[in-house]
Amino acid sequence: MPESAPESALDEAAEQPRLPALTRVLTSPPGRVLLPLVALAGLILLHDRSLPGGGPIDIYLLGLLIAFIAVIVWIPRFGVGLLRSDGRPRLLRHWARWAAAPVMGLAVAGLVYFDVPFTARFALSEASLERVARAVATGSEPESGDGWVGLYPVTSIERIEDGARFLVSDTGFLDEYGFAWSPKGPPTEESRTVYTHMDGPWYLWESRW
Amino acid sequence: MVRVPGEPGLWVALAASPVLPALFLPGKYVWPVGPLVALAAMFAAVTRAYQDVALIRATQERAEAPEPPGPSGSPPPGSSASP
Repeated sequence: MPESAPESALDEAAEQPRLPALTRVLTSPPGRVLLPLVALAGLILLHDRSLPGGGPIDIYLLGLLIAFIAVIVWIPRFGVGLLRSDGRPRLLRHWARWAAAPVMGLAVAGLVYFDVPFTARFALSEASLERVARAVATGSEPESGDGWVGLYPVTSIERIEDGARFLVSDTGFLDEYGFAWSPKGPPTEESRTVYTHMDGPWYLWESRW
Repeated sequence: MVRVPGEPGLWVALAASPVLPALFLPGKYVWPVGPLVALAAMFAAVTRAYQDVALIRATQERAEAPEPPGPSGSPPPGSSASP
């Protein structure tokens, strides 16, 4: 089926090798650079929100910066393409590539809004955390040094009254965060320590700076 | 439509320029202005890029168009003027 004249005209012109690369990029649909960058920003933000208290602040700011750049680049490219008669046919033709970035953005925003990353990561790790917590609470010597329990990188595991607590590495900005397992009620609070009940015997442990 | 001056690269550089003052100025000044400047500059860059593509296309079409017919009354090449 032959393409419409304006569409093929702009496509041919946009694909001319003598066009400057930047001009070609600005008049083309999002592709090999912008879409992976949006996906990377989304993964960084989802990873950050999956950790108690958030992940490393520098990685989080990098994710926000990438997302900001993607928005600043995507909106004008889409807006000008929509406003120009020689751009609209290409928006329709490559609609999936144009829709991919906002769909990814909305998906990440929705998952973060409903706290899905944190809930899912904790649910997938709960059995492993509880197994280690029970062992530590009944007298086993906790492993020293960094390691993984479930899907969490853990810096330290300590025995507390009738339970155990895990400090998750690279969390928070100045404060540190982790989990406490205390089946007989809230753990005894110490100075600069706050426990927030999550579910069942689990508490969010915040170790303040 | 008014042709956007400058080159797309110039406008993209302007769009990225708010990053520099953002490193030194308080956020209350940078946040309202920086994204607006960046968005406006990117709109200018993309508009100018579309205009460049349209101009190149028009130039190509003029170059590829057949020669216009000569003045009326002149005989077409290859034909005889006599009846």
